[in-house]
Amino acid sequence: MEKKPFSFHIDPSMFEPASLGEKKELIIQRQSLSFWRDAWRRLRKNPTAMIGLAMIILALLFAFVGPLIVPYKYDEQVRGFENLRPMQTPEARNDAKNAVVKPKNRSDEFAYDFDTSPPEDTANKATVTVENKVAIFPHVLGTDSLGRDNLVRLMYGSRISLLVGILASVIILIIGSTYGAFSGFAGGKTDNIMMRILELLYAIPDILIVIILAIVLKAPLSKLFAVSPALSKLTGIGPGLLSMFITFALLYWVGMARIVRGQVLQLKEQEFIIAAQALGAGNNRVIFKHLIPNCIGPIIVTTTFQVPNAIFVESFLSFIGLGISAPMASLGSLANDAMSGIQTNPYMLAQPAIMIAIIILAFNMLGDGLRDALDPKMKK
Amino acid sequence: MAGFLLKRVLSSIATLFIIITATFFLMHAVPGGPFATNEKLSQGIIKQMEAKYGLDKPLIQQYGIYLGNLVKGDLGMSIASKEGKTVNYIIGQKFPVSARLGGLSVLLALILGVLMGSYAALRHEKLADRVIMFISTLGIAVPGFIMGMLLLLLFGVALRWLNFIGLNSPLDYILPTFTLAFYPACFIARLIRSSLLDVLGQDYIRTARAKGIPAISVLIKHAMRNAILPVVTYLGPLLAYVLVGSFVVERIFSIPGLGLFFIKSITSRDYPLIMGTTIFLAALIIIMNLVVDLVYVVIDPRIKLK
Repeated sequence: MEKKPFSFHIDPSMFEPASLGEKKELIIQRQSLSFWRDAWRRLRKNPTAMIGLAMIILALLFAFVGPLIVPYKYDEQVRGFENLRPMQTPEARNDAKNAVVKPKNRSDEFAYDFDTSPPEDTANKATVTVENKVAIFPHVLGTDSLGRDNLVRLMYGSRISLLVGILASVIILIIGSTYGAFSGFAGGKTDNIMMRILELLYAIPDILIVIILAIVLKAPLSKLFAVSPALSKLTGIGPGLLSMFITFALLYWVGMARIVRGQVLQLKEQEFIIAAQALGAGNNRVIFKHLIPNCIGPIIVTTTFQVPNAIFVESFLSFIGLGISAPMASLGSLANDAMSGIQTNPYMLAQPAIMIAIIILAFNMLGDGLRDALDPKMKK
Repeated sequence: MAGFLLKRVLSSIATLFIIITATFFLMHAVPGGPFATNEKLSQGIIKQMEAKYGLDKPLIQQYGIYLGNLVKGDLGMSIASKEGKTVNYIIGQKFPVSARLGGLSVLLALILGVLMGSYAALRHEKLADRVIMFISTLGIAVPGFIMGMLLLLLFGVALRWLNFIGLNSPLDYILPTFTLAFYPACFIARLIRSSLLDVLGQDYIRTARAKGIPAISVLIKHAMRNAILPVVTYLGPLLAYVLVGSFVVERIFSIPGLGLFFIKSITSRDYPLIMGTTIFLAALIIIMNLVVDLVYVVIDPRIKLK
């Protein structure tokens, strides 16, 4: 183009075409952050949340990989290995006991030795392999009153507790967000009725009903599992766990439903929903493709906080003797078993108690961080 | 006001009715019945026993009878206790122990929580605030009964400072009370801190300070009156927490209260007792929530009733 004198046209000769590299540079200058990347960036900056995340990963490794390494089984009872202290071998314990017993009475000594040493004939083969195992892998946390390895039982207990926590949260997530989304989306009378039902459920002291449900469900579920062993093989869980999941499914979705409903009420008036409806999207599509993905932040945060809650309820129930049934163990039932021997073996109570504390603390720390990262509005 | 009152009372009654109905039918859905576990009993004796406790009638009729008795305040007979004690008698015997412990815990939680929270708010962003917030975050995250076990292990077993079986001397109250109170105290501390920070930033506080009123009386007379309101709403859940928490705390510290008895009645399948205790505790919690709601309306004149 020619330059016209005295015009306000820009002189083209002052410009030259940008090279490809320059063009690229311009684009790269501010990389657009996706929602998830932005959240991850914010989460990574939060040391508490990252410590929580690391603790959760360690706990998961401990619970799911640990039992593969330790050469004992959770229900493996070994005679002569009962009530060992951490790292103790039966010989060391017997020596300690003998040292106390010996000065008292000489005639007792023989009888005592006779009692505790495993019968030569029957147990010989078993003890050889057991001793090999102990030589490779001592009972790091000791054994319980039936000669079962505490470490491996703690691993299985953590596994059950984590499983209950995570699966229960998923159940709550599904039921709660569906109920809340439908209620908020429907509005009007339907919403009103659904919310009244919610309020009634909310007013019920949950733990009391959970206890009743746990009592009631235990018998029929045990029967069901006894009738069809395939069921327990298929699902990998026992009646105690299943009743726990049912109680969670029945009672604990209320908080989630409320939060999702609140979000949906805010979102459904916005333009993109109207646009989707104008394009002919049905209600189901609008709810599941547009509304729920847009309240994913609060949903994830609430779910993270549900996990420690569920673990707490599970250990609470197991602790009062209602949860999982022996020989399987959860952290709560381990603590329950340890209560009787608290004077002699206090470490057996300390192990599951500390484990529960660590897991619940970790999930709470991560939850706090996630809330800040995913949902800055919720931060106070 | 009258409309709100009526609505609130009616919804509480509805909730209670749902709990009673659900508990009744759930407990009667358990196969076998309470006498099935005892193998020594012959068929005839079981029939007689069932007749005695009215278990041979149709379920709906039993439900009607149970409701009728409940209205009169009669929770039925305990099956497991040999002398044929009533559930009312057992609750009357055991509940005071739990109530004393629970009352002390509520008191301790309120005092500790308000003190911690207001001190943290006054020292906002300073070291004391950070320390208190750290402790209260920990206290909220770690469940109360785990805290109880750890306290027991530390002070009872390792240090041997305190006895941890039963409630025989006033000193024995320390561990269980603290265990029950710790979580709510931390919760209250956080509530008070955040609401106090809110209130302290408002103009009327600055006016009061400008008039020359000393900081401490501004805090108590002006700020606390508003900052304490969220704590009042928390009283209902607090009571529920203490009542249910007593189950485990009484188990941990071997306290012969209603909670420990309730756990024992679960193992002995004493259905009337389980039902009676559940309904009693649920009613207590619901009534307390109702009272708290009403009190809240009275003390906060800003709340407009629909």
